[in-house]
Amino acid sequence: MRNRLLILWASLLLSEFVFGQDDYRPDRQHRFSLEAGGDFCLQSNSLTNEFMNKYLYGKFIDGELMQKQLNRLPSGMRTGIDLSFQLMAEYCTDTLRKNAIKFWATEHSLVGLRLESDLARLILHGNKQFEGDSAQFSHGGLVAMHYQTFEVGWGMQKSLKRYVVNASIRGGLACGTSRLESVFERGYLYTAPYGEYLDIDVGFHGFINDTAGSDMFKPSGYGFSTGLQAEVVENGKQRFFFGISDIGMLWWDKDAVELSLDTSFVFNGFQIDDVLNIDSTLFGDFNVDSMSQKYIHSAGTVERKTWLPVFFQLEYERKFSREISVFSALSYRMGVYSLPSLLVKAAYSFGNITPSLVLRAGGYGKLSAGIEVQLATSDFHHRLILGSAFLDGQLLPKHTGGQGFYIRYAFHPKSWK
Amino acid sequence: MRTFLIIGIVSLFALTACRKELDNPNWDTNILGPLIDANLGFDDIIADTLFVADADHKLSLVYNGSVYKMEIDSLASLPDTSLQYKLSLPLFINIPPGQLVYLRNEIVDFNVGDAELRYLRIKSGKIRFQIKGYLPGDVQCKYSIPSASINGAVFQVTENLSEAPAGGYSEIEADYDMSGYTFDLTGGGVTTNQLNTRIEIRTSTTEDTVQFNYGDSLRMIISYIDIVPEYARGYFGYQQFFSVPEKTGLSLFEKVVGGEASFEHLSLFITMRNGFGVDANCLITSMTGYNSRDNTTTPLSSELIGKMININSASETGNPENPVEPSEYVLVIEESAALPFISAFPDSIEYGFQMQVNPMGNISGGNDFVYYGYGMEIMLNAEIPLSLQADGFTLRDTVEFDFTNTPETAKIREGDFYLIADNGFPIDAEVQLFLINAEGEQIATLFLTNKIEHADLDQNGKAIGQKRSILHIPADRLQIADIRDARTAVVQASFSTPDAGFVTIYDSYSIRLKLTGDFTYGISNEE
Repeated sequence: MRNRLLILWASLLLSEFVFGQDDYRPDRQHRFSLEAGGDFCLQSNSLTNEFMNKYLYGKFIDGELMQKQLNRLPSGMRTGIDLSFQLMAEYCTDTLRKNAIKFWATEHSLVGLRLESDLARLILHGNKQFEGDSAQFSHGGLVAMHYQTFEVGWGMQKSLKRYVVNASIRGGLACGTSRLESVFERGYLYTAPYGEYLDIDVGFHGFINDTAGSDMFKPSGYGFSTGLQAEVVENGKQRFFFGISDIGMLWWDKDAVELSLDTSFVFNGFQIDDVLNIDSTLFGDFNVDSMSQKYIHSAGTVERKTWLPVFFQLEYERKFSREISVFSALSYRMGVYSLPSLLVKAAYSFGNITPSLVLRAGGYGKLSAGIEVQLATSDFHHRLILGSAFLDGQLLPKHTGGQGFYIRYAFHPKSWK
Repeated sequence: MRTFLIIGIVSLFALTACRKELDNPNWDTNILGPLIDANLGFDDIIADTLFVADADHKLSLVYNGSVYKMEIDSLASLPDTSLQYKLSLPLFINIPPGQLVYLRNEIVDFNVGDAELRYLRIKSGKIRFQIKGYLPGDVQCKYSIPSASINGAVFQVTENLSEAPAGGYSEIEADYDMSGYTFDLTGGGVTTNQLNTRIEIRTSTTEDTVQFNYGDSLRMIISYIDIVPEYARGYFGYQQFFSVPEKTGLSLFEKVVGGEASFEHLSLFITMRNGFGVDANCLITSMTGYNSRDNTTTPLSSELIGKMININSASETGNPENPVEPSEYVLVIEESAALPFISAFPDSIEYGFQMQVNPMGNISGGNDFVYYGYGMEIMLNAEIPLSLQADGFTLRDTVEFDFTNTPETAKIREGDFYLIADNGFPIDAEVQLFLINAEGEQIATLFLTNKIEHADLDQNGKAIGQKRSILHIPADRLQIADIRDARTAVVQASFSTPDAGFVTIYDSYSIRLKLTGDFTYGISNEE
């Protein structure tokens, strides 16, 4: 129990996972396509990279850094982590490449956190700062999950005058490795002068599955996932894309536990009637286990189903010339305390090398900037994309709160053309 | 193309490698909150002491302490007793198997002085059987006590003694537990202190005829050892007991270390409780209180000291669970004698004592009785109404103070602790906690401010409401280290009453103590 609470509290400081932009797909110039990629993103609208790095790498966070961090806290703190891997294969079943079967395998590790400023301050710096005052922390929460999907799908292509429409649907197995969820429905803490008493009002709901022995090869939850996408391409000029993925559910095994706390009470300290038995009473009960046993109620082990975090994606790309193009994507993942994210990329092609400037806003963070480089063989059978939307975070770690990079590789065998 | 593949695969692996287990971050946070909360009445503050309230809710301290105790073995017991028997054959003789060769009915006469014991049930004790034989064949030795039985079964034991080796001897030594046996010491008639026993020696039934020679012999010793009675009946005789002046601890004031206090009234009693089934005369020759802190002695100057007291015999209830109803005689000490004796706060008393048992002779007709656990006891009883005056009256106690088994405390870096006291008593208090390390050295004093003010009084001198005092315990890093090093603590509290004469303590008075902490606490997400 203690471990879980610590994970919970610790994770409150972690951040959301922003899903990588699915900003390229195999075109239909090849009969077979194989793509692999990975994204890592750690983003916060308030925590700086300096702070997050110390947190994540287990360093001591000194008072100065903590105070600096506290001064930056907005009214609603959002932080998220996204670590995703994807493998996709497509095979056109006809020589005209109008129909294709597809296979997707993905793995997602997501952490999303939203905290009211007071709760963040409370967790980071304790309740002393609220002496004689109250801390309000309603409507916050944390979700951390790790899951995989294995999907097959069918794609088709239609030509309408100068437009080509690509559409596909997919569905398959979802496997859950872990899920931790906590939601503060309401929260209030008043700290009396000298700490004479604490007036607490908390509505909290939590869920955690049994992660013992669970990994991606031995999940503790199974379910399904589906998705669909549509693309309209005006040849050589512009492209519009819409997609929804991770529509699905997971059913967790019987060792999943629901925790709830719905209580209002005044904590006056642990009651004792023997002032001389100091050592066994004074701090004996002051540990996470005894506090959680006293105030947190477990609904016991449950079999529970949870939704996958549905991912929406809207893209528009326009080529202004053979060299210059602009790509924009609006995406949103539900249920991970993230805001919609907008990404804009401006690219200039030098033949096989295409560098881009990347701007990104929303998600868990503020505006960030980065670069992307796309490398391709002369015959375009192999493409490699390396990029990061958070170069500013690397250059100014004391002031910005985002870091991450992505890599993708696409392969189109010549012999299958 | 190959270059692209290698870059791609290496990059993917690099990305995957980022998913290592993350270490645990740590930082300091500032916690402020209550730790313990106690609402204490007077009886909670002065622990291990009985307080009672009268109809007016005034509290009195009640003390009942044993000064002297005489147990069963002082009055009726069997001394260790050994009996020797010898069998010598005067001629050559062939004895067939199973033939009786020695028989003796013996009366064991216990030497118990003037007492005439008739019955005795044994709580613990044993009979030891020692046999040494110089015989050419195996023999069977049987010892029985027809007048000793347990649940209707007579005590009897049989031991087989093998033939002696050439030029040597054979022997047996065995102990038999006699717990629970009842001895009928009347010898089967009207005698006392006597036990019928029987010894039989036969040749072994499994051997052939044995040829005994002149001079073959067997020696037997039967010993009654450590016999402790659970119950005895008879006439215990006229006995006198004199105690030399003897000192015994008095727990009532053992925690007092200084200051002055006086009580408005008190009652002091000396209770003599006779749990023996005999009449007795008792005389307390002296009683003196000793205060070892200031090395003073205070005699109890009562006219009852030195006066012979007749105490009747206890009576039997017939209830095996509680078989005796003791008789009591209470000496009510005059308050003029009791006040100076108690107000000297003695931590030990010295007394002299004399007792005569059966001063009138055998008036019970041999029906004196005694049960284990019931004896003669002298107790000191005090009832002290808590109407008192105090000036720095100081109590001190040593308590365990060991936080080594509470790892949460190791995360406290530094800070301040506060004792918020809402005092409803009409008494000021100054408290202090001295920390002692494993070597017995005082390493820290906790309270920086330590005075708890008394509650306000009304015109009748009764406390109204509660008055708040906040006591400060600074705990810098050195002090925190001292707290961790401490193993015991000396708690000291000095009490003073306001200048309003005697103040009375009511059972409704209480003090609420709340310890709060304002400290820096190390947060780490490790287990």
